[in-house]
Amino acid sequence: MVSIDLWMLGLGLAVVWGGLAAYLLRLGLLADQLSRQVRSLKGAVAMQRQQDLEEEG
Amino acid sequence: MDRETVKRGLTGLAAVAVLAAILVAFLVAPPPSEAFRAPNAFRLFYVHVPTAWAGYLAFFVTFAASIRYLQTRDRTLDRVAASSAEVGAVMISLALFSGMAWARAEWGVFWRWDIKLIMVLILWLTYLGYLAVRASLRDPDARARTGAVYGIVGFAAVPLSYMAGRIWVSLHPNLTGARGTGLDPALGQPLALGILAFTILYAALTIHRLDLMELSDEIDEMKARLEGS
Repeated sequence: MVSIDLWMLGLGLAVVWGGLAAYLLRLGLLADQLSRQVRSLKGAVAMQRQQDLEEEG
Repeated sequence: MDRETVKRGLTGLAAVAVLAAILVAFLVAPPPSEAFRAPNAFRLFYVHVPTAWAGYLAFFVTFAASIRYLQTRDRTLDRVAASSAEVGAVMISLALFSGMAWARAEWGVFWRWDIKLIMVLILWLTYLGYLAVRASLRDPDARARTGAVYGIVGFAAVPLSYMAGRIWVSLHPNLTGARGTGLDPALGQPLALGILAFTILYAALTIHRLDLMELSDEIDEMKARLEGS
């Protein structure tokens, strides 16, 4: 039978590595979400510029 | 050297250092003295102390950046303070929960209302409060100003948490205090490596979070310009 000593070592390590992995995942997802927003905003800016040029022309 | 190079270098270094620290802690470091009932769970000490240290360091960076922000109103300093606090909250959470696992093995319970543990809990709540206050404010200036004041006042929780075991009677093992618990000096080198590794990891994570915060602010500015035109 596995002792409580080993169980708690496993639990503690799982908490630490799981916590770090979760935070890295959060950073990755946030980076992905922000880069999508930047692409979409750049597209909107380009469209607006095109419209402005057409109106002027 | 540009920031991207520093970021990549720190990330690689952090991965190598943390891996090395874990290998040393499990394969090289000697077992603890017989004063400890749970010699396996004791290995958590090599991540518990470094994560706690990173949590303290992170709040110090938030504190220093907050003071500079109030002096200069430089938005970059506000971002540094906020990024550091977020990573610090993660680190102190890891220290708190790994400590609870060790306590269950060593003391038989996950939690004791011991002064050192209470002070670390207060520090954890202070971190959560800082993040909650920032998240609740939409106006960037108000968010930066309020965050800075909170970051300065809240820093008091760090020395109180660190010194609690030395000022008051506590069951928490004390590394350097007069009421030492017989920690073997041979544990010092693996511990120092762990502290170095988690310091590098803290720096790498903070710089990544800082980049994302800057990108988020740029997006807000682009949106404002689009809505204004």
